[in-house]
Amino acid sequence: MKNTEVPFKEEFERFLSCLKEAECLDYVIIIGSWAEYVYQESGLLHSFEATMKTLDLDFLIPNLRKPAKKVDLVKIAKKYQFIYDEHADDRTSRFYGRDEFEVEFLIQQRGSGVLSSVKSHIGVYPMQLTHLDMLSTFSTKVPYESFEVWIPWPEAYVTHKMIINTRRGMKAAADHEKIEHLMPYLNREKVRLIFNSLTKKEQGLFMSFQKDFNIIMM
Amino acid sequence: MAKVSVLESQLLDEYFRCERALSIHKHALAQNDLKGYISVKKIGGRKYHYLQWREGSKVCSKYIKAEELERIYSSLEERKQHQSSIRNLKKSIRQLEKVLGRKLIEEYRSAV
Repeated sequence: MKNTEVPFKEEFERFLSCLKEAECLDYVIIIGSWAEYVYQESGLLHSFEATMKTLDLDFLIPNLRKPAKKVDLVKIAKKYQFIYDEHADDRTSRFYGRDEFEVEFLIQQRGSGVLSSVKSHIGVYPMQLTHLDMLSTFSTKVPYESFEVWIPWPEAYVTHKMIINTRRGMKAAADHEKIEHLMPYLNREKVRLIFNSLTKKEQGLFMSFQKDFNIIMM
Repeated sequence: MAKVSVLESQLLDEYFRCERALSIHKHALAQNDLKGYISVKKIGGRKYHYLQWREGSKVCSKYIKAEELERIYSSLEERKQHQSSIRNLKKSIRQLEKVLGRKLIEEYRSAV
């Protein structure tokens, strides 16, 4: 998808500007569809063209306690005219830009049982989900426009999608398409490295996905 | 629950996001009660700014102090942005309802 065709590119960059001003860019990782767009634009994946199907912007926070000095991202985001909202049920944070542009934050769930909202040092309440660690463990910093942003390795991005596929409900088929679209660009040695770092359960989910969809990654 | 195609699932995702965003923008607009526009009058070589708005058939006017000008410009601009987003979101929702059908949307509402 060419630059000029990407809806909400301006909103995406406006939020990156907001994070940059808050000095938070180093403490979040772009995940989801916008990571694919950055793979394309940064040249990390040569000749790759992202398929921007969802317009929400998701960030992974690898460490709740970074930066050391707490930041009020909500205050800075309001200055950039993003609306802040907390979900009524679980208090997780979302920002809204023009039209339906939506920004969410996620962290790796620790332990099991009842999830409770925790505030990160960047001033937001992220949503807790499982299996996110690989996206931060295997991540890299790349240039994008005037920014330097963190994104997961494409191999980690795809491995993650394979592992969570069974819980994705109506998004599972769309994720499958993304996996197939990215597959030709992946480094199989990196996939093996990531696979070896997974838990037994995650390895099982990975192998099941390979078998169910006849996709051989390694 | 009927199985949906990849395209339908993406459109459903888009629909529910538009609904959420519409609610957010409507709420934000309701919080911003500043209406009207800024008119500039030159009196004796100096510029004076006035907030002007309509109440029924009457045009009301209120002088804006210099130190409040930036805040009021900003609030009015924000208001315009919310109004524009609300218009666009309502249009998107109508289009998505036509494509997906209300039955499918309601069926998947609980799954989101």
